[in-house]
Amino acid sequence: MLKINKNEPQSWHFKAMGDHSLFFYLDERMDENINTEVHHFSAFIRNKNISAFKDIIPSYHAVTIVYAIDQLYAYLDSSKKYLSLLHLAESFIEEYEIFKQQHTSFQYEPNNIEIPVCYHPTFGIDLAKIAAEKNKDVEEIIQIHCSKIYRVFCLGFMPGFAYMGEVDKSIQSPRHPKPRPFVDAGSVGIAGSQTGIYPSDSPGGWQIIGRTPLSVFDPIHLALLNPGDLVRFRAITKEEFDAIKNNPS
Amino acid sequence: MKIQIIKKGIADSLQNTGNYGNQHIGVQVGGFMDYFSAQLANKILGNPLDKELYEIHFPASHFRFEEDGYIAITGANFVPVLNEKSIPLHEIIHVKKGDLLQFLKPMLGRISYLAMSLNKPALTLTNRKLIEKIDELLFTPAPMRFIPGPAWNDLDTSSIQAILHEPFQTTLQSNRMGFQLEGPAIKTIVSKSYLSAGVTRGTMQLLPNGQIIILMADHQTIGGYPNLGQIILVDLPRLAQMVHHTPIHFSLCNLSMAHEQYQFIQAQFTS
Repeated sequence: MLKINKNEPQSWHFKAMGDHSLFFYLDERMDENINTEVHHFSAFIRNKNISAFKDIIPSYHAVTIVYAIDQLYAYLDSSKKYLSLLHLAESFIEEYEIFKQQHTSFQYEPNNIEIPVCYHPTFGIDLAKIAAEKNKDVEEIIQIHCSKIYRVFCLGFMPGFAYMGEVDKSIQSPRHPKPRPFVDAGSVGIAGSQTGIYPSDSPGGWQIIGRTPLSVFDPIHLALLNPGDLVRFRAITKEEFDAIKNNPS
Repeated sequence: MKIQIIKKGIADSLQNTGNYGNQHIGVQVGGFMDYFSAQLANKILGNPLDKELYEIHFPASHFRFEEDGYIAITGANFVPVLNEKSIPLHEIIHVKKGDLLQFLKPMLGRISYLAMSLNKPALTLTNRKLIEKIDELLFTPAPMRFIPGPAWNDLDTSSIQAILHEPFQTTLQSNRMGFQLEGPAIKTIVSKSYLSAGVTRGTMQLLPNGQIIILMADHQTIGGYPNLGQIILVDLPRLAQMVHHTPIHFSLCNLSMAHEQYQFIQAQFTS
């Protein structure tokens, strides 16, 4: 159970973002505490089960709610609790603050997920270059990448692409100035302080250090990783990679 | 109703009102680009407004009907012909098994919709009025109304003036994901970096080259470019129908007006 951190209060603000979304936000920083708060708040809204909310999108420091206008007004009428959309948004923040005062823990419980990654040079095509730049052995880069638990800040770019952080400063590496036209599905990359996995073949600019044999996204099972999940990478051999790839569980 | 594509067009697709519910895992919504014309085609045929239909871009597919039924075509005028004979937009057209539907030439607009039904509907007077109303909304020049977004206040004064008073235009860099515009260079006061956050269709993002892109149906779920504002929903179909080099003016709008307009027009579809 992830505790709510009451010592570092973050106050939520909101804006009507256009005519069919609400934008709730905290300080604009890439920060694990801020992002934890995002997932708590996002779960709080999601648990209200309001069908007028078509999507609830958590990101680094914000939660965007996309709503259907007609359904929203029907909800406001039937709830008798909120006078308007903006009153609803304000009330959500107040209700959430009260909820936080009354509870020590919360509905949002991250999944802990281990992801096998093969760092073999045929997959980790940028690994040797990063090692040379950082004046480290390839083995050391792998060990550092596997030593941390990463948080899924949010998903985006393409279905199932999880932005995770934060990568240890000693192996951070910027995006390629020019994206590669083709990156294989399953490729594990680093971009600045973040790490991520390409769910499908696509163009991409991240520094590729390995590949997972797992399916990261498919239309039936959807995404392997969800917002707020905690992820650890485990180094595997090429043989293990092939074995998992040939016998997906 | 069964239909066969005998020659594939450049970007035709089956569309519905969009697949919401998975944007938090990065799945784009998609759906009708011009929901006025799509709903209208369905309404003319007496279909549910949200029924899946063909969205057609030019050069269009060639379609062959595999059973008898009824069709309606709305949106852009690509000069539709049935067995090489011209057929009108916004009418109930009877088609027979084996009939060939083609589109000859982009005359007006950029997206056409083809709805189908096996049952014979009746064209009502209310539909006639709605057809005229939608035609006017789509093809009469008017400002693109927007509600300022999170990064609006980060713009310098001359950029705000430029967006509110100077003309922009659509470019060839326009597709189902977004319409990139060309106009005066826009810049923020300080170059700060923005964190990616959820975006919606209609979002006006400021690209690093100082130009604006307006996100459309197939946009990514989160975006990190400065979020200047959102075009209101009732003006997006008009944008979707703009071919390249169409001039655009922007004007400010507020939330209650946007909601009022949306509900007013939607009510005419559901009445």
